[in-house]
Amino acid sequence: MTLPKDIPTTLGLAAASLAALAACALAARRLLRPAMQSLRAERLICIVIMAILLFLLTYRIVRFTDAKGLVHSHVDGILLLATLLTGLLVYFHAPTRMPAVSLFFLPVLAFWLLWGFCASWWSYEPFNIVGIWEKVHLVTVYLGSMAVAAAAIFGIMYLFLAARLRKKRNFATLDRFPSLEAVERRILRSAIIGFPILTIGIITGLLIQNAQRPNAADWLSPKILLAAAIWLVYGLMIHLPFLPIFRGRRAAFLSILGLVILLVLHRVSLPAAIQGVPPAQPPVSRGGA
Amino acid sequence: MEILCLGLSHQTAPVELRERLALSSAQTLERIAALRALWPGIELVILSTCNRTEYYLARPLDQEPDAQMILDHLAQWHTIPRPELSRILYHHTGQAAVEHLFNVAGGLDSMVLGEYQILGQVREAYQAAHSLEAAGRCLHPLFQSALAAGKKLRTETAIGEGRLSVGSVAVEFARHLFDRMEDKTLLCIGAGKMTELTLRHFAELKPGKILIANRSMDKARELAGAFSAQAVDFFALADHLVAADIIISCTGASQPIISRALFQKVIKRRRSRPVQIIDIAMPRDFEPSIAQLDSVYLYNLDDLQRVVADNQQQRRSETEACRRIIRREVEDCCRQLRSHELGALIRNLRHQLLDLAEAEAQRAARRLASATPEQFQDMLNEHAHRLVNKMLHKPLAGLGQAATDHSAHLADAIRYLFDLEQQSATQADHPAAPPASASDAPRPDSSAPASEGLKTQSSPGAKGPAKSS
Repeated sequence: MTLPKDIPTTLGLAAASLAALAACALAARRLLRPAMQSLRAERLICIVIMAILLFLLTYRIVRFTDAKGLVHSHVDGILLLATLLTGLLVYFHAPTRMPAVSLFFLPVLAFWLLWGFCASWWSYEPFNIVGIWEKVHLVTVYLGSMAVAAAAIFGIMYLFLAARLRKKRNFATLDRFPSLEAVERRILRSAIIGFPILTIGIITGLLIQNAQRPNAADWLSPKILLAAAIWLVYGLMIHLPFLPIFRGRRAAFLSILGLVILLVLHRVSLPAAIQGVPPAQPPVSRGGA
Repeated sequence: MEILCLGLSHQTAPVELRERLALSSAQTLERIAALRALWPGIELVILSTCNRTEYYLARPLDQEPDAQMILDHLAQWHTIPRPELSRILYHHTGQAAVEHLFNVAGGLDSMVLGEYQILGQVREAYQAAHSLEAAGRCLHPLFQSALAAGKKLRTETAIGEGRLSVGSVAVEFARHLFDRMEDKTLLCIGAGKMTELTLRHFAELKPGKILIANRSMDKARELAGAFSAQAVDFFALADHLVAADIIISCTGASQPIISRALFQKVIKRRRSRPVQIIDIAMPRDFEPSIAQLDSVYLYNLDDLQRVVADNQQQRRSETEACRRIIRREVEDCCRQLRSHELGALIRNLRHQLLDLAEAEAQRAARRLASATPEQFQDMLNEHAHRLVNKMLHKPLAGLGQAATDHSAHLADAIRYLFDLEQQSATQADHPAAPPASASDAPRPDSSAPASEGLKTQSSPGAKGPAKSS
């Protein structure tokens, strides 16, 4: 069995993953039992996860950061995403906010942490990043992914709540959730936050692509098409108040669609990030001097 | 101290009698003052709500008043025949009274199982008594514990969860659908009693605008006046439906008045903003297929009543867990009250005996100062006798004066507390010398005052072996 490339990172991610799974179990139990359950244990676990991730981020910045910037590898990207998501969870756990959302956020967090753990052990490869646009592109990709994930999580919550309301049974479960209107507003807010970040990411991506002197067919690569698709989806979503056809459940489905496209895009673009941007080809000369 | 609870509730008395015994806040204070003027040593809290009036009383053991005396006074004050009053009043004493209070505070004795309002009412009753210093060292911790237990039931069980009326369930649906109500418009179609009842619940949400549409404009205006709403033209309903985020419908129409086709246009004009429809008419005012439209949440009477039934069942299923918690809390409370009472009693007893012992010690010291060494032993014996006589004087005098039954209880208590049973048995097996008479005791000094009236005849066990530990 091969050892992890960086043992502290792997151990930290393992601990955070286990903690997230424990928190998921607590959140599920809180949902299923009719009596009010204390959130204290969940809050504490989220704070512990936050502390572990902040420590890991700091450790990796100190140890690995060089000209490549904040996101040294895919593991760092996942760490950044997980830290932001945990921060959001801790924010929502405050009593006057929406503690029930942890039921939907925690599984996503646990998934990312497990992904990061596996990536840190078995598929760890540093990114081959050279220029400033690559660095900006990577950071905006991950930050934009965070917004996309948040929108999708709220979208799933919306569908869950709408289904429960249509079921017209007792509200013991729903009492812990925000209202449907509040959830739709948060889908919109996530889209509004994510859209400009995605736009910067796409623009920097196009600049990187352009530096490679691509031909016409290169502009139609799956990566670019998928990126454009996400951008369009989120462009539609930020116009929700003006496009009634995309309100309600359709907004929820759009947000989930955005996440699915994003996951495919990550899968498609990861090898390229690891390989790095090939040097620009010299222009073909048209005749001699 | 003994705790007494005397009262009536919706379970024992009809509303006509309950309202005659109900007390307002001012009357409660007057009644507490009047009863404490009659019996100054009592502690008293009066709980009076629309469904119950209860008197919680703490008094020294075997002293006035008892339940019958209070009943007599209530019959006199409220001019209700005593037999009728005794038929509807219940009374509990001791731990049963404590348990009853805890059940009341927890909402287990309420008309609506698990309702929360009673906890606030119990708190107000206690605070009213506290303001008159009528809740003392017995009722003060009792009511504090009852309030804590009531709160505990609501945090540890689901006894208070779920709404139990159609109107409140409809409001709950609205809360789950909408975040803010200040920018929402509520439309009532129909101006009958059911609409008014449901509107009363929704008015608590303070929606931005309330519209009332009814075939009869006068009735619409009348209902609108009661809720600061706006009466609108019934025949322009389509326009009002576009503006409405919440619709309460209860007309007397024999067929649906809103079709799916009409409402689809309404949704389009509303730009797919969500809308809640509460259709409590029978037959229904909205076509059932409207519920399938996107952004529409349609609830009819059956849906709401099903939720009420679910909630009632859920509360009932929590009753056993609540009773377990109550039993535990009652035992803790009673134990705490007993130890407080015993602690105070022991302190008082100790002070009394120490005062007595100090007085006798000072007298003995004065006499010893002028005595010869040969007289010391006699004087010390006399001092010991005097001390024992003085300590036993009150208890033995009380024992002699008590009624037969009571003196038997007191005698048993003395035997138990001084472990005289074992000594009596020992004496029976081995009869001791006849008790010493006064003539056998050394003659006291002539300057010493006579002992204070206590007979020196001691009981057979008084000079037995020391009590074993």
